[in-house]
Amino acid sequence: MTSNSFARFEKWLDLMKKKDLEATQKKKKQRTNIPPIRKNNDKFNLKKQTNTTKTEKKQKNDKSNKQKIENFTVPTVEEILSTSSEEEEITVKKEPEKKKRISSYDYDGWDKLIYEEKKKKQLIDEALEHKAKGNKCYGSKKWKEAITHYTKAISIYDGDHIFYSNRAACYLKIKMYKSAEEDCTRALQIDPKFIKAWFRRGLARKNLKNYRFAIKDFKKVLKLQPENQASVKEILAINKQIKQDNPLNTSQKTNSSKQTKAKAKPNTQRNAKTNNSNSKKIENERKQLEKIQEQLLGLNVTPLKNIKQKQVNKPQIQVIDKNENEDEKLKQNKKKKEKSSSLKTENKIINEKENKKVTTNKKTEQNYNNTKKNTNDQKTTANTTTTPNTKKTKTTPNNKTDKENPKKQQTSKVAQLKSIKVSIPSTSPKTFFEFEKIWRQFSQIQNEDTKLDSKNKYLEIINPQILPKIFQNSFSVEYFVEILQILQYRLKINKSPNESMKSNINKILYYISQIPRFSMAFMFLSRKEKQILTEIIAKTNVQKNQLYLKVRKLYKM
Amino acid sequence: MNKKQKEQEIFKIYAEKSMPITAYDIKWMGDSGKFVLLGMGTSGQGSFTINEVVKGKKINVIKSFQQSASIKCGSFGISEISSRKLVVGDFSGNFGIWDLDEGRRTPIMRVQGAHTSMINSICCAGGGDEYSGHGSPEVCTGGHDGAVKLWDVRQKQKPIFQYAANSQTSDDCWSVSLGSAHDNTNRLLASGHESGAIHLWDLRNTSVPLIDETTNQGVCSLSFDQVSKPANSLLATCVNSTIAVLQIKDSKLVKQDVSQYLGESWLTIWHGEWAKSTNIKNQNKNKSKFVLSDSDGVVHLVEKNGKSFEFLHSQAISSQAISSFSIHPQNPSAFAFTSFDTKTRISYCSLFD
Repeated sequence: MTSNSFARFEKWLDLMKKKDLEATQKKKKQRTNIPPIRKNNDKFNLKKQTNTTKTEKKQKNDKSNKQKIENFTVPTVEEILSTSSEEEEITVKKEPEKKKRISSYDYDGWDKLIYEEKKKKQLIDEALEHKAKGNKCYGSKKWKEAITHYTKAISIYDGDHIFYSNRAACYLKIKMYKSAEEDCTRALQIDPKFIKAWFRRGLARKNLKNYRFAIKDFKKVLKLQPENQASVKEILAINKQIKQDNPLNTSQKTNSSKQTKAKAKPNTQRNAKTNNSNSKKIENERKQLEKIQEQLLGLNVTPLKNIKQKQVNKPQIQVIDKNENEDEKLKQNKKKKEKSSSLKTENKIINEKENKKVTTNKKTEQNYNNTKKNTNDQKTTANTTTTPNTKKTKTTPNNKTDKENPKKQQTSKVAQLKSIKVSIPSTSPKTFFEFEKIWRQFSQIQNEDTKLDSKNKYLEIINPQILPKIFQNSFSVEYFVEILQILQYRLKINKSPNESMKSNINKILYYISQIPRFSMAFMFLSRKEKQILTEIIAKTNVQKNQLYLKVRKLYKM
Repeated sequence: MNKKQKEQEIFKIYAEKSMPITAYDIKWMGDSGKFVLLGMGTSGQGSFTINEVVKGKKINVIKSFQQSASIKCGSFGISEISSRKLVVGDFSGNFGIWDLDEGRRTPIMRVQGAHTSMINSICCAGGGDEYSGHGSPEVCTGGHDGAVKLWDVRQKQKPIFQYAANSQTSDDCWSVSLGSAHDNTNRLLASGHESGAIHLWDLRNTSVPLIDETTNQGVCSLSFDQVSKPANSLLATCVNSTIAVLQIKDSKLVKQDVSQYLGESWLTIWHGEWAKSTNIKNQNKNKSKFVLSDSDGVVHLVEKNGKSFEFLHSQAISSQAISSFSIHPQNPSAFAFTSFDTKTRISYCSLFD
């Protein structure tokens, strides 16, 4: 079977061998009909080549040096590829746009020129007549008649951009957006600086829901004519529509950019760069729009909000010992990053006002990104004796006492800690950042019962469906273990749980299993923790419930 | 394997061999049964080898060439089909023209610094015959810096045409293709980017692109259905299991997520090409058919019906991704596949004979 099926293929292979031999033995003919080097309008360059950086200059120098070497070594083979200088002259003559110098004795040439010019004029005049008719119809709102007139004009004379753009305007009125877009591109091919065509094409694309390119066109209008307010309005309108259509559009884009190809490349950091580039794109576009708004509209426009920068409801921490000069302490603590992590848990003495000042600044995000310890340092004011800041601070009554009696200090700290009450926020978190902040506050409470109690209450607020979105890629064994402890605690208190409670626990377990990297965390559980899991699942047995069965399967019970 | 399974194998593998190169690209050589494998050699340098398919299901390595920067892509088509000049683009942004018949160890011509970072894809047209199009010999390169540049072989100091993206938003250009070169002046240039943007320029007037479309998924490969005749459609294969076909006259884009046929929704479709056939009878049948290769090692034969795609046949050829494949210009039933499991496979598909 196989030999027959490949018979034709093998015949062809034999043929190809013969041809191969012929090809190598053949003398290579020079190609005679190569057209000259193409000359194109280089106007469509977003980045102009004139901005040469140092690296480009170096490359140019290298090129020139190496060209000399290559030109020297390879004269014969290049002849095949390169044309002689004669053909290059032909290009110049054939260009009708440039004004040629016709010598005074070239009567034929003059005659031709005059004849061609006359013809052109006649054609253009005819076409302009039709265009005038079209304009009249446009004025009296007869769109389709206007289109017929404009098409006649185009059929007579091809090269006037105004005909195309006028026809595009008519198409826009009839809502034939695709043909409007095409007409605008043709107009722009003739005259790429014609503002009306860019604007109309933007409108057409907007209505075709091609938002990205529509914004590009409107930006081009602004480049050519910075005072154009209509285009700014259009850009804002488009942004609104994008948000209406897809409220999570930006987050989806960043997710899709993460799913790049896994090609074998020498630079493995490339994928990371693409992620950043996509998110940077969006941010840059927004920043540009903000600038435009401020310049042109002259109003204090509220900046477009990013989903990430939403304001967090901060927990209200009751103050027990008020210190007056804590502002200054905070500032000084921010500047010096200290590794007094053992004394982190001392003194959560912050007023509400100070909390707002600290957390609404951008520094919180930066510090969070830098080290996790810093968040605690912001909230806690490490006591003055333990830090070298004491010399700089303005003296307070507490400072003096602390310097004298460090031991008394520690006992007072412990007392303060025990008496701290952390209140639970009323709204559920929407990002991992929020969740972790609040979670960490709870974990600093020393009394275990209250810890678990407050964490439990916090968990109750969170809708379990959101859990995968909150955790995304930051799920770890520690959180898993903590959640299991909380659930255990819940069942301790309510020894005979309701059905609603059981279903709630089942839901939590189910949605935890949907978090990415769940399987990794599951593998790293110790025996004790798995025992806890089995207990929980056994206790929350709901008969004939699909969720329960799913949970059992997922946790392999 | 059962008889039924054998009959269902449309891409019958004739020969396979494992090569010491990690191959990124493969191209058949015209007027012969040889093909060229391009990629990175064992010690990180760039190398490409000429191999021949021989009767008796063998592949012989004939010659190998080396250069310092590892090679990403290559293409014939800058000269007639019987004169073997290969254009090779590499990871450091240079490209060079090699003459394979002479067998020189260095390229005839080299353009240094064509791009500031690596050249992702390269395409040539203008060889002067029906396989590589008419007109002047031109090379088009698309780079990691987002720029698309068109070079004429006679002028290597400066590109004839370039499309450079903004420095802030460098939209990585992943694929480039030339087509519709049926005349001395006519030519179309298509570029596909990481953001999914497809730009199509008519090279007679490049002030404004002819068509601007997006597929919203990074475009891995582009292919015109005709090089030496006026092209009707452009095939774009993308990341995340999507395909798109752009009809040039209407500028309509038909885009579809084909994860149901492939089995997963996160597969990248590395390469796609329109299928052709030698018989005139079969040409009408196979007009709207194309071949895809994806990252699972599966090759698909797909047909476009109006606004939807129909998967006629899928066949698993390798266990790892098939990075590229090539259809022989003179025999559209001969396929050559490379994949990341270091094996190259030559297969014969009787449908297109």
